[in-house]
Amino acid sequence: MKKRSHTYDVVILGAGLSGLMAALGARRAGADVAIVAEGGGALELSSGNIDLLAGPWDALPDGHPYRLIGADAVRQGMDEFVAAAHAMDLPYMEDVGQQNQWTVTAVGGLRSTYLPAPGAAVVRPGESVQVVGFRGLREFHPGVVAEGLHRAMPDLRVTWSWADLPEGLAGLHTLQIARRLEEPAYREQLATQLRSLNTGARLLLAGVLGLDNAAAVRNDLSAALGVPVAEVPLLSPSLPGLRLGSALVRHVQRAGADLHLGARATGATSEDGQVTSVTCLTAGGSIEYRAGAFVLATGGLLGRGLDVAAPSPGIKAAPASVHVAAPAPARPLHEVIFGLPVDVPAGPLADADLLAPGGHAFVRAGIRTDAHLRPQGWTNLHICGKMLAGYDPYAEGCGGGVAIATGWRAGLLAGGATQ
Amino acid sequence: MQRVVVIGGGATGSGILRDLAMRGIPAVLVEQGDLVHGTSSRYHGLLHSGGRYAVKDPESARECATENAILRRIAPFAVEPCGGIFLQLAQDDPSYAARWVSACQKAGVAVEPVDIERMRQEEPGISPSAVAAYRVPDASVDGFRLITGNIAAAEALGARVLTYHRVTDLLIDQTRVTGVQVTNERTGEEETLEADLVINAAGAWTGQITAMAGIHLDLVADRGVLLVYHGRLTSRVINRLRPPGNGDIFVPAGTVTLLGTTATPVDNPDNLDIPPDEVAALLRLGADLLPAAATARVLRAFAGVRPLFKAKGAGASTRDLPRTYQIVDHDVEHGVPGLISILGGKLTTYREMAEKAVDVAASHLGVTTPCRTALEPILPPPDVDVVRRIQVQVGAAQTTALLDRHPAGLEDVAQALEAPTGTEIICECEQVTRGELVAVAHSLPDPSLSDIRRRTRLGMGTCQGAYCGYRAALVLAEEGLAEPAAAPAMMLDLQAERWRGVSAALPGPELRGAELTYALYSGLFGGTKR
Repeated sequence: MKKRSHTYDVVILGAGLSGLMAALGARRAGADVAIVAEGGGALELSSGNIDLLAGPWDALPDGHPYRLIGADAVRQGMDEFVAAAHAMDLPYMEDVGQQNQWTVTAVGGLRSTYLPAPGAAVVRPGESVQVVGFRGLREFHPGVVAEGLHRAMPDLRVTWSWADLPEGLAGLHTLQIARRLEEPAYREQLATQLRSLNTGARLLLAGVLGLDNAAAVRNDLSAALGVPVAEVPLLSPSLPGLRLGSALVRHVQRAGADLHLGARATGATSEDGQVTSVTCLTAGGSIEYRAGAFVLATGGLLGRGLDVAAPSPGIKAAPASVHVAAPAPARPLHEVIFGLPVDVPAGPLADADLLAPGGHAFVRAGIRTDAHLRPQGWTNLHICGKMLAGYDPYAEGCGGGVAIATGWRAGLLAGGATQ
Repeated sequence: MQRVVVIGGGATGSGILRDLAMRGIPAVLVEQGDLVHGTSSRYHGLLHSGGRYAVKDPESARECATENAILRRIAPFAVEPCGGIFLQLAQDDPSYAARWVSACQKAGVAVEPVDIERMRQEEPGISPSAVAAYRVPDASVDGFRLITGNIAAAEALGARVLTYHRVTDLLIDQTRVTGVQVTNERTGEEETLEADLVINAAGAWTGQITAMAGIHLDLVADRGVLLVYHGRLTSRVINRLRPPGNGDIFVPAGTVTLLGTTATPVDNPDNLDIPPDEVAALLRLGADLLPAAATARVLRAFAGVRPLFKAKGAGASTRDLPRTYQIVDHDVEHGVPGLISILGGKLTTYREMAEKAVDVAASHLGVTTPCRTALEPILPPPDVDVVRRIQVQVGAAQTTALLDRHPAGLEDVAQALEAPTGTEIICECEQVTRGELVAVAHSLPDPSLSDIRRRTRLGMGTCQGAYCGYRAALVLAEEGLAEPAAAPAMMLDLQAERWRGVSAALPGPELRGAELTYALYSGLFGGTKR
């Protein structure tokens, strides 16, 4: 069978937050763009809140992605994200004058974030809130959230209660409940159930309030109950993250980028440090993507852009007399498409304390690049998001910001390189 | 009042408690942590055939061979009779095999040569360099089930058990030990327990107890590191046919496979550190036997501490110390009446160790009832009606798992499963239901998720408790079995414990899972006061 082939100005590998921002950046530069990805990135694990940076800028280590691209480029990327989000009816709001805001986690912790997802439970000292869970939704316990909040912010006035989902939906999956709530009649029934619990305090509900029309779900409930309604994201799947992912995908497509999902990149060709093509395996066979520039946004370990040493050769294939020595890789990670060198910090890969303030070395593994986000020796390949070396998004509270700012930057650079 | 206080809730202590109870001697057992807090759950789970010790330590080999057969009979709920082989590799000393076979025969270890090509078909994962194989009656034994079975049997006869009670001192009158002082680790309350005799079965902590009576014993805490692989890499125990060394035993157990061990003397039995070089050595050595182990998914590493004692003229390596045991009557040895200690030993021989210790105790107490622990099954067969009730709820396959996990207290499990949402799955990997979780939590005072994990296997699969530990804590709060305010700390404590094992086993194919756990828990708890 003849191999199918597509040619674009820019091909972006990966459809998570950084890949989608790269597509917007490349489109802004005027390029003809395709996003090629196996799946949809890690947004379903994300609270949907966008972290920028938990600590001071000056404390960032050398080689941190923010330092590579500079504060102006970070600012620019965030501004573009906020503008895009408003255009897709997801009004992410900065709290002017504040570095970060406190959002409520599923165990009643307070996590600081820069841009809370629309409708996210943001709390401020002194206010009154009521936490409500739904019986049968095992991922959420309102009492656990309320007690946690009470500890974390003692002058918050918190009460909690259970509510029944209409039509006895107990035991349903988070997504099924969210879809039902998109039906106006169903959420009217829920409002009726909630009315009896209403204490006049702002309501913090378990994060199942709709998928694509979440704003309507919140607004209707809020109007029916006469109090503001906010959402606490669940552990997984996290609806605010899913909403951001699907809205951004639609936005990127409207902006004119082609999206090819279900395509796993298996190899690449290059000439003199120029990537010429990437081959992807799809259900319909192999497809070759040619482009003037490529963006690698395959999401590090979680996105499978980085993987542990290749599997061992088949046992049965080895002749019986040969002793198979075990590989002892000092640097076990490799980049799966181009075989780029992966920078792994020296020393232990992880701290024995899960929530060690300094984070864990293995999440800092990734690709080292120049200020144009290119690995050494490559002229038309740009790296962004979790594929970049040198940051711990969880300990530093910068995951969303790095994905957005480096994604946008990589897209702009890749798009400009073709002009 | 009890006549005997038993220190230590591991295999030996629980075996002693059952033996005392069967001889009609009232006793109470005290344990500093949960049951099986120490080495009895921190080993490879091998029920030794005796083959491993045949050449170097024939006495230990003989004990293992005898007790192996007894345990299969009296503790079927804890033993998976998967069998085992010793594999001779081309790179190992070929002359060792003949010496080993003859030593096995002398020690009474049943050993049978098997055709290597046939074995390759039965166990396709074994190394291409294997040149010979011998079948032995190894098995896999679940230490936790064995101990809870012994405890349940003893309790049914009137014995008492105090977990999370640490012995802080021995009560001494003149030179005689007359009991123990304990601290309840949960409440901080202190209590004294008087007794005619104290039996010290504290395993690796034995020397700390005798020191309270001014007795110094030459004990060695020997730390072994083990790896837990995802899935079953083999269907039976695989031993390497060479003098016992590091990384030469694979034991399949339930849904995982264990690789053991290393041997490093440590100063303190609480030292459960997992040095990266020992993990790397295990990964390398394991691949000698099973090449696929080089790239198979390692779920975690853990460490346990063997209680060894130094016999006269022992060599420098802890591999040279005997694996047999010794009963010390401190009245005879040190002029301290009222105290008996058990040194050394192995889980496989726990019953015989208990028998010998209780023989000494009985002679002091003037009790002449003989030991019957080898003759009677530890537990009566499960009630047929209860089994049927469980089958109706969860089906036949899962019923078998529940019968094994809960050798005692099955009726409570059946009842909890019959609640409206009792069969809801909380831990997918190990198929732990809400009902099982609730029944177990009910049976324990103020349980931690680790206490529940040991009894149900919750959190021991692929996610290592990241998802199911979270859910379980919320369910316990919902069921009124935990305070809502305590739930976050419960799930975080479980994860902190799991993470020590996960982080020590990096790097491996499980890096992605480690990042997922880290991402989820920093999302839940990051930026908050801990």
